[in-house]
Amino acid sequence: MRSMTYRTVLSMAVVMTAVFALASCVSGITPLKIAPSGQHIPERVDFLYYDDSVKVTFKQQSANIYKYEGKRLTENDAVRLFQNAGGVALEGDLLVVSEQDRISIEGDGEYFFLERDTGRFCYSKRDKVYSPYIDGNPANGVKVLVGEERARELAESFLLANDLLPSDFHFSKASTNYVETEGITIPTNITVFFNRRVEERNVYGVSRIVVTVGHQGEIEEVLKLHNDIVPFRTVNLRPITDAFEDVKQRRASITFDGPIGNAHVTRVELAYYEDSVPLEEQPYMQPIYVFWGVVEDHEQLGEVWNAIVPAIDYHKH
Amino acid sequence: MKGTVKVGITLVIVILLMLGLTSLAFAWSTGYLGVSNYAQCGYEDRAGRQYVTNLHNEIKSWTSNSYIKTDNNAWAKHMIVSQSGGDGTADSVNFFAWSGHGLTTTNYQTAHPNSANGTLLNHGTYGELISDYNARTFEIEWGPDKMRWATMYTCRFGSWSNTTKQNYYKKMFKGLRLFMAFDTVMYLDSREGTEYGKRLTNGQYIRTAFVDAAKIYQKNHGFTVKTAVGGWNSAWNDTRYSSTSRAPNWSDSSFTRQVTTVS
Repeated sequence: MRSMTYRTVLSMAVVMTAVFALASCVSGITPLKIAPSGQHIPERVDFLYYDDSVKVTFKQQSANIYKYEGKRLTENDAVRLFQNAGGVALEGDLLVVSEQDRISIEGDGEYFFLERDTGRFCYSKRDKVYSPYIDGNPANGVKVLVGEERARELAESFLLANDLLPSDFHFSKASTNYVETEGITIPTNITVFFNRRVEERNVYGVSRIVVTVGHQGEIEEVLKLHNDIVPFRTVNLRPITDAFEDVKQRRASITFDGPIGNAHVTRVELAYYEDSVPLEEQPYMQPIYVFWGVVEDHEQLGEVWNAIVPAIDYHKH
Repeated sequence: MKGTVKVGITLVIVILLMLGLTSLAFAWSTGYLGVSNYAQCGYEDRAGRQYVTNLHNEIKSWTSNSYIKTDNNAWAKHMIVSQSGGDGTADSVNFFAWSGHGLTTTNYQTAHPNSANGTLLNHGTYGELISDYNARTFEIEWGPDKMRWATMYTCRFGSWSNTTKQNYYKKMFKGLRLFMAFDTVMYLDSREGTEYGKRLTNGQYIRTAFVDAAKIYQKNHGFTVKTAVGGWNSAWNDTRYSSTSRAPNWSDSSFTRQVTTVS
């Protein structure tokens, strides 16, 4: 009888431990590692939050978490995506190299790689994309660019025609690249960025589609740097005041894009963060708070700093 | 007959010697400074140590490493020219990389380690600008000794936002062939070091390997990120196989700077 009781208690303990471990595993959300800026912010800088003036752009107290869709893409997928991204080299002329985590393709001046597990890829006519000259040859003269607005139209049309622009991605900016040589500035091409919005909220991090437009509108480079996502679960958001304590303690990714000084919060945004780590390290796209603000004595410059922190209390999830 | 054998042996020896010298000349020596621990700044860890470690791991099979100094062993004086109190460590290798904080002032940039050249001083108490933990652009001259390729994985070290910064930037080129850096704020991700190293190993141009890695790993945190690569026109297409001979000092007629928006 004593033996039975002992065995029963032991079995129950084992079962309870297993159940607890399983439950922890299911409910556990891997904490975000938000990339820090490579910028020094002096200790004298204070971060200040005035409740009555800060615009909080959301009301909800919970948010969804999304799970990245794992893939196992093949060489055939890589060739198809190479062609979708604009690759023109004939299939028989391609050098395809398969590695554990990626597939690389080289054609005639074309370079492509695909991450097998995520579907992130980069296609580049490398000799063109880094040169201000037509076909990368100074003897041909400098490229004739189409202008940022036209580049945006061309990039968008290209992506739509090749099924590379999901509906949750939207144009965010176009920027002209350039070289400075012999005392003059020569434009190289125009890079057009499309960023994701989920539930009408910005997604920060690596999540983007990028098209570089060169001579007379030629597509020189296409980057797909996002994962496909599916809804996972809903979590409660941590109080904004708790999150701001992290900012004050510099446990946040803080960026000043202008003068550095005492930082006043003007706005708090609820957004999402997509990281670029392997899926086994971070399987979830998660909500974040973005504190935006002005710098004391430089208020006229507008919101020149922000701080990004997770919006989840990991101790409770 | 004996004479012919002697000539033959001599020729073989000469050819072997030439091959040996060539391979020696083209094998890079490398040195790295990377800081992740910023305890004296009141900061959470950065990924500086991991970035240079990853970069080194990817290219160590074909380079010869002289030093990897991390955290409190990575000092400002290692990067500074001797006339300004430096010890020439950075310039003693062909390929150098720094990864950690960068500090911006109106007229110059600094690489900002945690340690004050071996002493631990609180940056809040002593101020962030003291020379013991800042390698300032106007104190740097790279290339009189061995450095040919520099990578500054930190904020704004390649910035030309005003004439003074431009002049300090150009003054750093004293034999340096190429200089890979950022024009703006940037974000530290150690996987970018792995990507950069893989591309160097594959024989990609050094400058495009750096920018391609940034295109993949730099973040959108609401502000634009731009790379800035500068260098000698004759070294523009340098790869791992290129000569380690000195470049001339910067002149606008023979040097180029390229700015690319990556995020």
